[in-house]
Amino acid sequence: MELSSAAERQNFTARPRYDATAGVLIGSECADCGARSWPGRGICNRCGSPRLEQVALAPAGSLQTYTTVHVARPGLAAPYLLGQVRLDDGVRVHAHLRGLAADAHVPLRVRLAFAADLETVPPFHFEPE
Amino acid sequence: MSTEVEVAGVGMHPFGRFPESSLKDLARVAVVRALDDAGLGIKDVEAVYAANGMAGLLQGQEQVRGQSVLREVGIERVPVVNVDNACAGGSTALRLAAQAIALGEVEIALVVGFEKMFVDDLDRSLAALETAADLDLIGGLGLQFTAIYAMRLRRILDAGLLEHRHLVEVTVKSHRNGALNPYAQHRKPVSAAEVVAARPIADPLTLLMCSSMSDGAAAIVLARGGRVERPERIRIRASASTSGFSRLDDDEPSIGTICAERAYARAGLGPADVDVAEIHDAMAPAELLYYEQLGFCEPGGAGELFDSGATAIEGRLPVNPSGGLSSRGHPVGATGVAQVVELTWQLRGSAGERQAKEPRIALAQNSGGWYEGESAACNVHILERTTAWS
Ligand SMILES: [Zn+2]
Repeated sequence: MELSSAAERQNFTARPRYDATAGVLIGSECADCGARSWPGRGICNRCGSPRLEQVALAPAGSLQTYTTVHVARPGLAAPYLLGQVRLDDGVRVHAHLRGLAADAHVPLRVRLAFAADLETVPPFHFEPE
Repeated sequence: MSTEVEVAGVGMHPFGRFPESSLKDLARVAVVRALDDAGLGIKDVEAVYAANGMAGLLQGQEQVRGQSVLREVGIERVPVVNVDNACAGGSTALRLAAQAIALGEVEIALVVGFEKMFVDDLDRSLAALETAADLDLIGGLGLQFTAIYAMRLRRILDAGLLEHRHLVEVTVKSHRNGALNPYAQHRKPVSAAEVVAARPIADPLTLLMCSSMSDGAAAIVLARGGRVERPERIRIRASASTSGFSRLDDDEPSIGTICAERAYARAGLGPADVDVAEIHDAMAPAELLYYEQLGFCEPGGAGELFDSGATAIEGRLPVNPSGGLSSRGHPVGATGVAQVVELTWQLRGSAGERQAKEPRIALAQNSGGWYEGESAACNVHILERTTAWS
């Protein structure tokens, strides 16, 4: 497939980033090298191929690290929890965490969860499995 | 590089909180001092590389920042390149200036970094800092740099590769060095107990471990080798640059490692040749992460290297004798320039109380922004004193 096909790809903002009903994030997968990415890309970052397909990403993974933030931000009361998750299919996602024990030790298994109100920004977080 | 590029002059405006000084004032002081140090005038400057991160959001000067700020010092007609690369803007400007000289296009280039982060509205400054990442990925997360570094450190602590006391003790070292630096924002030594008791920011980081908002400017005059006479000659031996990438595998080398290896290869040197280093400790304990990325120790060996005392001013490889970002201060666009100002003073032997012992090779590592867990930009410069120590 020619690189120029990537110019015809659906606009970034029009692509789904998650499917709350199915409880998954939606990203891209390269048909040539298999690399996945979230949010999806227009061209593969690993091999440069334009042959990307939209895929549902793994709904669970390993919490690699986290922090409790003690400085409030507009719309975010302190403390809040931020974490770095390696999904089971290899994609690294940064997100809020809920339900983590105060003395949680990483790595730790976590699963994606969605807010009841999808207008929440961001609408998803991770919780211990 | 084809033509040798030398550091002809350096200068700084102190870093700190300067409500009475505008960007023009901060930059004027740094530029005048650097030109004076080089024995040159403003009309000797043939090209300008101006680094700034946040004047668009904080002062409203989104475009032509360099031309506007340097109007104050009479810069006009010559090419001005405005550089943003988040916290790595200063070293990016330095690299571009060095390239212009190496190409033979100009003989004298001015590098200047300036930033004014205190705007009497902390939320506005924090929001500006948060734009050093892809907003499509971090929108609504409240992902501050303190949290980014906290997460990097937590992982290593939980893996048992560093102890919490290392984070505390390296912070004490940073403040001890900063106290010796007349240009530093934080000039008070702190005790380990004070570091631990300080307000928590993002676990495991406390307030005293973190760099704060800062105003400041730094400037460097670069010259074609031999163009400016100086008692000690200092050249840029290597410059390397990388940008962030998605690590699909945690065993892949980090952006910092890749950048350092490129710089070492270009210089024909290795980490063991480095005599003094200024590295990007936006939070003091980050210094420990970079020991490994820069090859100063084996993987997992950062705690041991620190415990040996090697990275103290009197050690064999002083790291951040200036106090680093966390104590000197971190006015974003100025930081990468200030690192090389400090190394120039170190290589000349004019760093006063914080002088390393007769260094010949110096390394500066400057990182910026956030890209899926890694830095969005990283530059490593290696400087060499070519004049023998007498
Ligand atoms: Zn691919």
